[in-house]
Amino acid sequence: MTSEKKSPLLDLGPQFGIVVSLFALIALFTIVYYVREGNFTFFSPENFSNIVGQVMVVGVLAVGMTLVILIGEIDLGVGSVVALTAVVMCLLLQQGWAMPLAIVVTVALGVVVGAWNGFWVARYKIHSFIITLGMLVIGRGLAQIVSGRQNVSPRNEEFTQFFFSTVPPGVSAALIFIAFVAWVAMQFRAESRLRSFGFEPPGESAQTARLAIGFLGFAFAGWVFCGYRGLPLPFLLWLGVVLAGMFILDQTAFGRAIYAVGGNASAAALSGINVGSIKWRVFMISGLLCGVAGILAASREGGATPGNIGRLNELDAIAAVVIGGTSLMGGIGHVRGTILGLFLLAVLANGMSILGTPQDLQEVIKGLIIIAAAWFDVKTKARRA
Amino acid sequence: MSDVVLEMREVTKEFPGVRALNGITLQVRRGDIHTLIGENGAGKSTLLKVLSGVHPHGTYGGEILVNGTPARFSGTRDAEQAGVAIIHQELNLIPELSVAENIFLGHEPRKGIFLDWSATYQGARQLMDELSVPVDPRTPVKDLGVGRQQMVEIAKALRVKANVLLLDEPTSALTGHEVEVLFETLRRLKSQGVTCIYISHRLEELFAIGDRCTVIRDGATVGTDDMANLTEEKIVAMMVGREIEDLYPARSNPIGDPVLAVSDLEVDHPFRAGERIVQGIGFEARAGEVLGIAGLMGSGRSELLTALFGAFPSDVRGEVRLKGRSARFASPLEAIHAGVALVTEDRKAFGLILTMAVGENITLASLDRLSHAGVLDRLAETKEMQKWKEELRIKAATLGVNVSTLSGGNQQKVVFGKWLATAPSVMLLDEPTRGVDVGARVEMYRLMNRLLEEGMAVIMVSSSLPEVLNMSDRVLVMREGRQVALLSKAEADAETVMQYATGALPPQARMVPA
Repeated sequence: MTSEKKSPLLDLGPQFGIVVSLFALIALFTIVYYVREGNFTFFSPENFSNIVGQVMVVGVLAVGMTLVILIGEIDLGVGSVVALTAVVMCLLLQQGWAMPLAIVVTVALGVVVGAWNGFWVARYKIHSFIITLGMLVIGRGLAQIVSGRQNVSPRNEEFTQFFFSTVPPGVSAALIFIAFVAWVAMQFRAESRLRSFGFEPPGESAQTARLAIGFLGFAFAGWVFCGYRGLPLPFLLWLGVVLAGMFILDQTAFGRAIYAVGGNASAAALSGINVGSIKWRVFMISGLLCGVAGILAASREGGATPGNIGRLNELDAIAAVVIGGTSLMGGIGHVRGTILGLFLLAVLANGMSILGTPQDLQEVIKGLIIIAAAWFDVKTKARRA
Repeated sequence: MSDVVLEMREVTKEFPGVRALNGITLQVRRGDIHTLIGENGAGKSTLLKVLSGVHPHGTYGGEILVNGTPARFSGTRDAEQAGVAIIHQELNLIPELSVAENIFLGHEPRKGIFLDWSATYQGARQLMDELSVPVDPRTPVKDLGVGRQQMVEIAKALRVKANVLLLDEPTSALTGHEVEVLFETLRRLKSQGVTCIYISHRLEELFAIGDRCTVIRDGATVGTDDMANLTEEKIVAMMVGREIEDLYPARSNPIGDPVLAVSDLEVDHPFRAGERIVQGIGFEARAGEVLGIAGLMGSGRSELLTALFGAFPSDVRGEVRLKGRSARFASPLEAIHAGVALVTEDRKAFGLILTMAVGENITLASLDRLSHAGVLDRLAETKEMQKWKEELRIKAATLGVNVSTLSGGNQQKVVFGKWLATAPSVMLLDEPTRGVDVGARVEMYRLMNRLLEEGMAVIMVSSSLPEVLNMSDRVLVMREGRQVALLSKAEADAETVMQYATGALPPQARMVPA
């Protein structure tokens, strides 16, 4: 067994290419904007904070979508379910329900929708493309019916403020610093564990590079959030979802089963994994996150327009997952990549918007990026095979 | 007949990080059946791919001459045009299409712009008749057994009127009769002047069919000689570079109490209502013994194992007891918890998760035991991975490398590791050494012997008669879904087993456990 020699940078993981693309894109927009406008409005804490705010709804959906695509399925219904849950959330608040109760009921509704999708996929083995295509239509239709085709206002100041609330910059700085220290500690613990398990640790230069990049990342986050209004609450919520997704994939038997089912469902079943149950649970998680995303969306919009809210969110979520390197065949990928894909798309959209690129052209460019990502995926896989 | 139809001179081929061929020199005489043997990973399949244009000219070093002129194939079509056709180890058929459509894929007879179906079916029928395989050319390939599918693959090569046929382990999925049919066909083709390059792991086949033999090791030619000058021992020694004392290591452990008792077992046919795919099965498997299951392709052997493991999709009736307790499992998970393991026939389709790492595959069936409240105990898990990697001497750089990068023998060891990690008391093995090279096979047998000494019961299905006869303490023979004989080691010889399997001998009268 000969092992290939790799440069330490490549050891940083399969997402290396997309990290580079993200940096390149940010640099490009910064320079172009500076040349045109003579200032750093693009590269400013305020703009980056805006970008973060723009992707939180899709960001929550994309975590669920990553799990769905990892088991080799797809969930096309998420945008419509966002509309349904957003409308329901607003209606409940309008009726004077207490916010916690309304949240629980709305999220539960999302879980029920996910269970419905999962039921057909797991029990009757109908392709999720069809089942969730149905949900794409059903969800939006139900949202229209429940709302009476009207824009629903929650009439709840506290709720509509939530999306724009932040942790004060001082506290944010402390939180980010604590998170950084915790992350560094985890890196060293991971390395010593690797060694004690008999794995080859990635090597000193790779470790140093990883720490340096991590430091830059945390410093950047500190600069962005403390330089503007502090850590947004929806960002913290999203971060919780992301960390939960990572925990499931890396640390639980359920997560391992997700990879196994996506990689080879027959072999997984013969190894004692209940494939139907895994699929069902993944769709329920996706549904739950639709509920969360619906609440975030309603809070951001200050209400819910049943025909518009959540529209095409499913495509953005799928694009983020695929650009992030998760294979549509299932079995390969991670939430880490999805985050990068999410921000790549967000930076692209934001940069083009503030440069005044026409909306239609933006769509074309976004589409081309998605195709490029898929092509890159196929190309690198061909090389590995 | 000594003119050289095909010659390879110092051919080399590199993949990223691996040198698959390292100076292959080969001369094949016209009309010979030239056999080629080497351990898994020795480069046999790569060699065939270079010869057949799958790896086009320019991607390898050295020179290939066909009929004395340099050949520069840019693809398989080029090679076919030069009269060189390949039959791949993995079947390249499209399951949804019919036999005829597969045979003529890409070369469909036409009438004007329309497909000429009658010519297609007629041509296909002719080719299948030539192989004496009575198959309706309209049958979808997916409805055929693997043996018949292989025949379709051969018919495909015959269609292009190849005068050099490359066969990559064509018999790995065939049973005795089908192998005979194939050999007859090859001899007939030989008499018509067709040259065959024949790759196989089965030594006895090389002697049955070959004129000459070339042994390759580590991507290079070790030597070529007339079959008549060679013995099995000589070939094995050339392959591994050392002597292997005994292919089937002896064991002397005592045989213990019955572990698994089966009586009147029957399994419904998954598609045809009212029919049974397996019936009349009754046996006891005892601690420390190998119960071999012999039979032709499609005799219900794999279905029996799958049903015992709780993984067969249709109804199972009858009594199965494991150490006295009822053991008719509703799911593989139940079987695993009760201490039963199943090493499946096709490890790539049913044994391994090829997208996952070696270590992750090893612990896949033991995740319950290695997690608390659903959270993996990574330390315990890694110790388990490490344990089986060392115990089974799995050759992988780390536990984290992708399992698909391993050789066939090492992949099979990973499958064994996965099941041994579940601490089973009964192991069901379905073709455990298929596609595994000689060196790794001996290791497998030694491992089986060690497990038997520890008191495990093994039920082994195998199409390789020498394997069944040499490794089994008793042999159960199946024919058309029924148990037709249960033979002691003394009774079980190749002839008797085949006679029961083919129906030349009527089923034994008393089919109750010995």
